[in-house]
This record gives sequence, structure tokens and C-alpha cells, in this order.
Amino acid sequence: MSLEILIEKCKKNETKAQSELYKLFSRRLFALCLKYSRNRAEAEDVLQDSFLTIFKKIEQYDNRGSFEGWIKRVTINTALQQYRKQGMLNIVDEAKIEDVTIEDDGFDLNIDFLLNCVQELPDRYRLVFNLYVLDGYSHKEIASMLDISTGTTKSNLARARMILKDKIETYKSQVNLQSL
Amino acid sequence: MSEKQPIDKLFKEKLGEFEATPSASVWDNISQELNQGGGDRKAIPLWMKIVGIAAGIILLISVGNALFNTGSTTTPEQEVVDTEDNTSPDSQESNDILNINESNEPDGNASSDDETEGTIADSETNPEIKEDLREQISTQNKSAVQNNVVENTTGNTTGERAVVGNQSPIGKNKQDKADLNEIPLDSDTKLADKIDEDSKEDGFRINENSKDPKIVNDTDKDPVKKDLTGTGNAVAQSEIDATVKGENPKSDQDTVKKDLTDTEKALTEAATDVEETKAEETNDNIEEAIASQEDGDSDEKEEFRNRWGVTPQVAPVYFNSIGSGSAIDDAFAGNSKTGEVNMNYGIVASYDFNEKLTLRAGINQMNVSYRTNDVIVYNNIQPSVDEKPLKNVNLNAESSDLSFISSNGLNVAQVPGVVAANIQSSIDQEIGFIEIPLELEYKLSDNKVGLSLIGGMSTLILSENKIYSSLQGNQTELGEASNINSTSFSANLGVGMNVKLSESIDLNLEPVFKYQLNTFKDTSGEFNPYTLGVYSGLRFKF
Repeated sequence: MSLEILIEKCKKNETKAQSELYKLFSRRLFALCLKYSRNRAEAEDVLQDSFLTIFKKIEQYDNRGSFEGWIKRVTINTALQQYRKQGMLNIVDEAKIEDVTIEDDGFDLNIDFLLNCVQELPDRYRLVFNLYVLDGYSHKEIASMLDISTGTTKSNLARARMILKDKIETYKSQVNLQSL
Repeated sequence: MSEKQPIDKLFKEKLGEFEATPSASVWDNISQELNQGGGDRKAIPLWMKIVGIAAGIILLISVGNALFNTGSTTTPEQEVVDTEDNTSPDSQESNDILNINESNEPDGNASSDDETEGTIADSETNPEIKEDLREQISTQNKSAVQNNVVENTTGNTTGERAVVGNQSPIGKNKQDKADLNEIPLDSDTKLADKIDEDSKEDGFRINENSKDPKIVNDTDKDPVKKDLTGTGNAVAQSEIDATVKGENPKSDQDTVKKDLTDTEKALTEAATDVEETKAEETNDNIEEAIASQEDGDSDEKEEFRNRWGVTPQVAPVYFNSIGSGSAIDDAFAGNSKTGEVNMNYGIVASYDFNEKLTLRAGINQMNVSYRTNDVIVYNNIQPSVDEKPLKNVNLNAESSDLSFISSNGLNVAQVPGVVAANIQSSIDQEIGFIEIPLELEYKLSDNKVGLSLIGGMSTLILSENKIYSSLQGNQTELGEASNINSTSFSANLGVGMNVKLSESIDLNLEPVFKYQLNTFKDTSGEFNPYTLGVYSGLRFKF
């Protein structure tokens, strides 16, 4: 069954098609949710709300543009909505904007660890980092999405990078220490 | 800017395209929400639509029939007979005449103040007519007018009957609809609950399994890890990661491993693997859950398993004909006819060829009845031996001296001098068949309410054949029709709806139109009988 047909059937509220669509995209969208959330439980909540929104609004999808892009946007919006509801943590922090470099020493970091690092970031840092680095939104877009200034998004991003770098460095040194 | 940041690159590479499997409960919750919000909304309009179509067809045919009949019955010229130049045949005025005549006023016609009466008087009475004669004419007039009135009233009754004919099937449909609305809702909820319980159980079981340390053994570990991480580096690296994590209490916080972490190093290592095994397992689990969901939702898989079905069914069946002819006698070709609704019973066996196509055969007791209105029945003093009073009816002994004429186009001159007996209002024909349907059912959709098209044919074996005359609710058997074939056929076309009540029981509702092909041998005018029935029953699948 092609994606177009599946989408059409979902527009008609056919249960089977909805379950197909879920099967097709839940893994990718769940990864997205994990990155935007603090933990797995929260990510599952976001995923659930996202799919409900997708099925509810699928009629509005007009077959122009990538469907996956559309459902990703819905999911990201849902994730952000969670934090808008909760009230964003106000992080007042003027960090220097500097390049954060890590040595490329062939050290292979696994996904779980990196995901953990992202999830452990303070909420707004995590959102900005995800939006900017992983999902390619501009500072201007992010600023309007999170209702903050572009200056804040930039400094949040820099802080996020710093924290991530620290985590990775610590991790590496520990591993090196062990392997010695 | 992100290009310049190696750390961005690292995260984008690793976290850009990875996938993760949510737990099965997510889909359970989603489908539950969808069912609550969407399921009911969908079921009701579908019912309304289908029942609406069925009701519409019945309404259309009945209304069309009623209109057609009214058109053929009332011809104003016939209302006041025996008055050549009567120009104002108002029915009320005719009634006036009747009243006057009935009150046996000897001067009824003579008191010609009234216009109509004047006309009648002019044409009928000449100076030579004596009182007796006048009375004679008065009687004649009386009978003529009475006939006329009979016609009028029967005309009205016909109208009423037509309306009744319209209403009763619709009424039934409405009731059916109401019943059915209740049933599917109920069963849906039960179904949803059941599925819910099932998947919960599954989810629980599998979570337990994945916590089971037995799963984490060396043979499982490697392939799972390789498959899932997708990164080239395998065991060594992960073990190092795990080791570090074990010593770093920070990484235990809020992580996906929360439920599994023990502070022991070895166990942390296990945890990594458990998590991955769990991911794998939940993947399977969700697929199972979805599969079970599909089982629950789709009839086709279910029916595919249960190929055979038996459906006892009952149906109100409306019988009528297309065309204005009569199956009884030439004389009644132009009369109004009324189709009646009878209850039919039967049983149908079905076999599913595949998910879409079902063959079914069965046996029905099919009774139909049909009324020819505006018939005058009277005792003939000198019964004609050579000619049958009704062309297509073999009269029984008691009725052999009866004569029948249509009150349509009745001319008083034709009525024998002594009209000894009743003026009948209708001839009722009751026909019973053993119907053997052979039909194909093609499934159009199989949501909560399945929709299908039904087409096929029936063999009709004549089992009952009676003709009655009916006056004011009293029926007298006249005999039987001589022109009904002992075996005939019908072409069937219908729409089927079914609601799944349980794994093995469906509730069916099928409005079916059956056009009879050669039921009557020799009809007067165009007489193409059909039936329209709403067959409902429970299909037991096994």
C-alpha cells in the first residue's frame, strides 16, 4: 500500500490504516520525542499526543511537501506545547558564544549515551539544541517558536554545547582512565 | 554555523536518523482515544445513510406506485354516469344526489332547483314518466351513484393504503435502526475493552520477560546489539560505556534504564543489553499488539478463518408490480393495485471464497399478497357457462356463480337489472413460494459496520395460491389463480450491512430488491411483479 493511499484511508478514519501509519512512523517519531523530552515516559506521552493530533489533523495535510516532514513538525510542536504548558524554565544565563570543539580521536560514542546527554540538558537548552542542530531550524524560527529573543536562543545554544562538551569530555576521561 | 561545530556534527550524525521503539501501551492509548472520539461518530451516519437509502427506495416505489394508481383510477367522466350532457360532475354534488335518492324522496329528481339535478331531470325525465317509472329510474340512479361513491371511497382507501404501505416499511426500518444502533455501540465497547485487556496483558508479560535476567545471556547479546545500534563498534565499546556508567551515578538519573539499574557494574552492563533486548522485544510486542488490534477490528480476517456461516433470517417483504396490468383479468388492467407487506422467514448458508466474496444459498418461506381494488362482485343469476368470470382464476364451487366487473369505466347499463349481492371493494391474491436464493455477496467495506453488495437469483416454487374477495375486512375465498407457474425465477439485487456482535456472530440487515421473471404466464397488460424485502438475521460463523 502506498503512503498516499494510506494517508487517504487515514483521512477516512479507517482504524486499520491508522495502525499501519503508526507502525510505519512510530519508531522515527519516538526517537524525535526522546530527543525533545527529559525521559522515556515523557517521550511516550509526547508521541501519543502527537499521533492523536496527526490523526485528527491529517485532513489538513494536502499532499504537498513531505508527509514525514509534516508529521515531524506536528511532533515537535507537540513537544514544545508540553513545555509551554509547564512554563518554560527561565534560565538567565549570559554565556560567551564560542566554538565548542571536541577532539576527533576516533572515540565512538554510542547513541544511548548521547541521547542521555541531550535529555539531561535543561529544558530550554535541550529544545534549542534540538531545533537548531538536529532539526535545522534557524535562530529566528526558534525564537518565535519558543517566544524568546534570538539573542537568548543563541546563548542557550552555546550553553547547551558547553554542557554537552563537558559531559563528553568527562565521559572520555573516565573511559580512558579505565582502559589504562 | 552548525557545520563549524564538531559537536553539532557528532550529535547530528548519531542522533539525526536513529529510531526507537515506544512501548505498546502508547498505541493502545491512541487507539482507545481514537475509538472514543471517532468510532461512534462514524457508525451512526453510516447507518443513517444505509437505512436512509433503503427507506428512500421503498418510499420512491410506494409513492410512485400511489401516484400511478391515482392517475389511472379517477376519470371524472365516469363519476356521474348515465347523464350524457352532465357538465358538472362534482363529487360533492353527486353525493347530494345520492343522499336525496337514498332518502327515497319520490320527487328527488323532480325538485330541480339544483343545477345538477336539473340537468339530470332534463335528460332523464320526460312528461310521460309515471311515478313508478320515476322510482325505477331513481333506483337505477341510486345504484349508479352508489357505485360511483363506492369508487370514490375505495379511491380514498387506496390512497390511505398506499400511505400505510409507505409508512410501515419505513417504520420498521426505523425500529431496526434504533435496535441496531444500540447493539453495535455495545459490542464495540466490549470489543475495545477486550482488545485493551489483551494488549495490556501482552505488554505486561513482555516487560516481565525482558526483565528476566535469563534473556541477558551472551548468545543473545551480540546479535541484538549489532542489529540495534547499527554502529560498527560492538561489544567492547558498549561494555566500556556501561562500565563508565556504572561508576558515574549521574548517568543513572532519568535514563531509559531507570527501571533496571542496579549499581553493580556487571548489572549495569546487563542493563544495557536488557534495554536493547527490551527494545527488540517491545518491537515484536508492538507488532503483535497491532496485529491483534487488526484482528479485532477487521472482519475479513475473522471471516476468513470462519468460512462457513448460517443465517436464520426474517424479512418484511413488500410485493408489487411494475406496469399497470393485471394478473387476474383483462377487466382489471386499469384498476388500482396495492402491494402488501408480508413477513418472510428463512435460513441461509454462506461460504466465504475469500475476504471479499461470499456465496450463499438458502431456503425461504416467501408469502406475498397483492390487492386489486375497485372490483364489483355480484351474484349472477344466469352464470355464463362458456366463459370464465375471471380469465386467470379457477373459481371454487361456492363462488362459481359470481361475476366480477371493474368499477372503472363502469356503465350502469352493464350492471344487470338485479344486483343481488355485494359490491366488493377488492380482490386479494395471496401467493406463497418456497424460495431458494443463490446469491453472491461482495464486501465493499469491513469497518465496524460492514457494507456489501448482493446479487443473484432465486428459484421460486409455488406453494400457496389463493384468491379472496374482500369487503370491509371480510375475506371470502374465491379460488386460485390459474396463471402462476409452478416454478419461476427472480433476479436479486441488494445491499447488505453487518455488525459484528462477537467473534462468531454478525447481525445482518439487507434490503434486497427481487424482480420476478416468469411468475405469471398470461397477464393482462404489463404486469412485472417484484418484491422488496429488508432481510435481517444473525449470521453464525464457524
